[in-house]
Amino acid sequence: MIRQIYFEFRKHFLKLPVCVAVILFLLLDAFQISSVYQEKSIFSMMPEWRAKYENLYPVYGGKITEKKIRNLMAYYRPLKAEGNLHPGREYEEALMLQKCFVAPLQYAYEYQQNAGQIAKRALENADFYQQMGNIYASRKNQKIAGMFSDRRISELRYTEMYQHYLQYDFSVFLVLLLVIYGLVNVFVLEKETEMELLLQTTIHGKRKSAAAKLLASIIFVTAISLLFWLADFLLFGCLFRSFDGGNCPIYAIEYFEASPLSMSLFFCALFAMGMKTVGTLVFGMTVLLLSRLCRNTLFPFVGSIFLIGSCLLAYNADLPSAFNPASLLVCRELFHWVDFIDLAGVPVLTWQFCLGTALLMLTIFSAVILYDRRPGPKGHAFHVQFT
Amino acid sequence: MDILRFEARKMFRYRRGILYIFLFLVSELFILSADAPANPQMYAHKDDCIWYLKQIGGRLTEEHQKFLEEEAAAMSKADSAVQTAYKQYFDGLISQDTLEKIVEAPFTKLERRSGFHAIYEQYLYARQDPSHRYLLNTNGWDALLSHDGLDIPLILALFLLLAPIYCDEGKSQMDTLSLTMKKGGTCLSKYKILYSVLVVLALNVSGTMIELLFVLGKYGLPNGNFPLQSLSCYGTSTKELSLWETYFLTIALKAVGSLCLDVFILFGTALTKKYAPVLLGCMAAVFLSVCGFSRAILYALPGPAGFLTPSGFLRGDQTAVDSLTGESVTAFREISLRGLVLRLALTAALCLFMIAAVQRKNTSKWKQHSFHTVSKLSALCAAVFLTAAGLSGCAGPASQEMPDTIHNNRKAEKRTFYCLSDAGHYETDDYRIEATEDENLELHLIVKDKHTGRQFPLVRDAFQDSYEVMPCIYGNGDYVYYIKMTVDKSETILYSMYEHLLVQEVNLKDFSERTVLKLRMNEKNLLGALSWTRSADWSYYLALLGFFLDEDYVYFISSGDISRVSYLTGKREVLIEAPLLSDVAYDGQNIYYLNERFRLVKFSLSEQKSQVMSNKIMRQFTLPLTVSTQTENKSIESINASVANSMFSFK
Repeated sequence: MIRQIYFEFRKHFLKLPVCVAVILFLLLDAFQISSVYQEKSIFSMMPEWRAKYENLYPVYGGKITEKKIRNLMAYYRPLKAEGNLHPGREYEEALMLQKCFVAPLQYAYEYQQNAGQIAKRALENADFYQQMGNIYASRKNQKIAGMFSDRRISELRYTEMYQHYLQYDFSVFLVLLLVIYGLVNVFVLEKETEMELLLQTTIHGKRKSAAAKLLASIIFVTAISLLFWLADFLLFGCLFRSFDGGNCPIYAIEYFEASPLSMSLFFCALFAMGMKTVGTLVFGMTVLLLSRLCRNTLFPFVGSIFLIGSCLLAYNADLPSAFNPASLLVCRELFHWVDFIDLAGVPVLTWQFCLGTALLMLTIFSAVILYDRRPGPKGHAFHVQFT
Repeated sequence: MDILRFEARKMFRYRRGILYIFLFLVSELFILSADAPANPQMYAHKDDCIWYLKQIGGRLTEEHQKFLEEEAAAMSKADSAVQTAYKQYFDGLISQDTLEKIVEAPFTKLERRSGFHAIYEQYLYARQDPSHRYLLNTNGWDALLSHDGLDIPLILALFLLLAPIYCDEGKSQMDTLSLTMKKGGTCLSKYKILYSVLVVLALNVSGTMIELLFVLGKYGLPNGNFPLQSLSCYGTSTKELSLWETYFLTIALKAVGSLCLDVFILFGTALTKKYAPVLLGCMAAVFLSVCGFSRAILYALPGPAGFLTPSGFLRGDQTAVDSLTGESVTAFREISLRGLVLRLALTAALCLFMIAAVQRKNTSKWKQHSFHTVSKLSALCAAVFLTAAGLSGCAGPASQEMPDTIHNNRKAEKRTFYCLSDAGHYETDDYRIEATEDENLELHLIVKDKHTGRQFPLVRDAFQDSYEVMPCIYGNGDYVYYIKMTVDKSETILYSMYEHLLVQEVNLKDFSERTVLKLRMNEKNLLGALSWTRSADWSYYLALLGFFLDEDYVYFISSGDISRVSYLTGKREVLIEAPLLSDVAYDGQNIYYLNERFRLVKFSLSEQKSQVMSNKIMRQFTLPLTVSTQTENKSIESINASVANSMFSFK
């Protein structure tokens, strides 16, 4: 079986055009990431800030203590007052301090209190809804209270790299294009050369062959996805010159202040990779299913572009996306805000629901691909009965 | 010529080219039908605008400036005269007859107010550079020149029509046969290329003609000799072109782009004889570069993508506000005509090279790869493909959520009246909900239990510090609606931007909450293909006075108009334009409002028609109709039986 999977993999994916496309797309990706850096990083907009930041970081960065805050404010306040009076060097330095230290420090310092406030309010709401007999809302608020009761940010780190990594989704298009290109031929190839009949007469030809193709495709999609997500991660780290901040919780980034997750940024990045891979796999299985059902290349290609394109467009147009695998590809929006879906009175976090439906779809598609018992080409009226 | 005829028969009959072209034209029409005027005010008051433009259209001279300024002063004088007169009337200082006499002259002056407003806005723009910016009715030209998305139906039609030209023979292995013929090989290939060029040009011309005729019919294209800079999107351009010249240049560039794409497709299919890699390559070349790259790179690269979105070649410098320092920085640098010619030359060289390669491929070399099946489903593919085109073409920046099914079972419920004066509170048998401000000027929506006297907040969200609640509510039966706006924190920026506007519904039975309408206020990054302007509609929503909703729309009331947003499309359209809008009410079928003469007007939602209800001057009214003015409180005769007989009443 393993040999068969390897053969299928070699036949369909270890081809020169695929490799060339992967390399070209990786270059394109790198280029795109560097333009994200150019456009969005504080230090690419203000190159002279970096040296200052690196000098001050050991002093005010790291673990947040009362003393550091007091020192920082003692340094910042006069500068700001001076800067307001005479715009110039002081103003810029004050701006830099404000952007790089004061604002993040204030956010981190106040976060514990705010999260506590949220938890407290959620508990009150839970009580209130209990009185009103609204069990669902009560459960929901209890969950929120549980999530927020013990949140704090204890360290100030340079998290810009993670912030932009988690919001980057150009590579998703590249991976999807590669997946479509790689998978359309998997089942069609033998049909086009009319070797399908021959295949059915061999011992490992029927379901085993389909299973091998399916597994090889899954391996291909996973490998391509992980390759791109890891490349993104490394490129972001290299360009922003920092992998720092991986230990901070995800809510250390302000965009994720009300995130349903509370894992550290590094694990969150890994988790996002996993979510995106599942999303890509669902789309990959769609392509494979079309390839299984059709007899030539053009239709699965066009059909999958149509299906995937409409999923992405529907997601982009803010149509309800709980059943849309595209929401996994842009998982930052799932991590962005605590959001529940009412599942028979039980509040389920949206990301869990999306992941669940995606896994369900994945299973169904795989099963259909595996157990599709359509006979050989049209016009050939015999079924191969023996196995 | 015979070869051309045979090729035509192959493409149009055997590969169902006619069907594809038909679908292409239909989807172009479909996209055009979703077109909205760039300047809705100018479109709505076209006659007034034309009246003004007849006097002062064209170059902005000293006299025109003087005329406009005087007119503006006269308008504001008339406006204040009307307001003073009505104030005096409401204070009981003058009688109605005197009032009528006083306001008659100002109102004749104010008749063209909306049209003048549109012209004045344009004047403010033109004043910055009077030698290049002329006054004209811009809607038609904007519809032709200022959109910058890809023409997706055209691109997909090109894929479908051109990819089989070489692939079809390749996959049935007949291309080797054609090499042995007297007129096969290079000769046939030459005709094929020529033929594809003709098809591309025909598609371009037909698409352009449809658009042109549509725009001519809907808006008209006056003053084509005015300079390009008269349109605000080209305001900073330094090119000395007239509007017609710009238009012809644009369509020529687009034709160049589609010819270039044509050559790309032919090159790929002739070389590989396979659909998949060619389609992948072309998708990447067009869509990835338009969606992924910044504009500077998009227009610097030779190839089809830039030319297929040609307006960028003619635009001027674009500035953006640096999010960190608040200074303005150049976001896009204008491409000079020389640069454009250089890019054209580069692209042409690339295309010539590709054509040479195609010809070479079709002479000496026998092909090795084959492609073996006949596409029986290609008609279906085309339908699917072009539907995709239609879908993607009209899926614009609008954002919305599907209407909740809950609305469908709402129709039978008790219908309540909505008055603008009640925008801050709502009462049911059990509760009274009020919008109040505390000593810190923070807004709270408070629910009072009428039986127990208990008070508690309506908005029961643990994250309520993260968004802003608007000071207006709408109630219907057991449901209360309020609006909240969430702040965008995806980037570290100086000023705060809004991310979403949410219309929330609270069920007063168990205080469960759900989102009825979700409008995106910023732009989403995913697939956020080119757009030169950011939507700034949120400023409209920040100044809301009130809102109400029915099964299909949410109606927003602001100080100058009432507009509605559909749950389905999320697009806002102005329903009623009423300057000095002072009071509004809604009874489920009709909107009642006071027009600028303080007369009660009924606007029927089913017929979309306004009708003045009574000649009485009033400042406020409530449903059922008890009219209050400062001088007297008397009820006027019932206007609508269902309104008057209702059990439900305010105050």
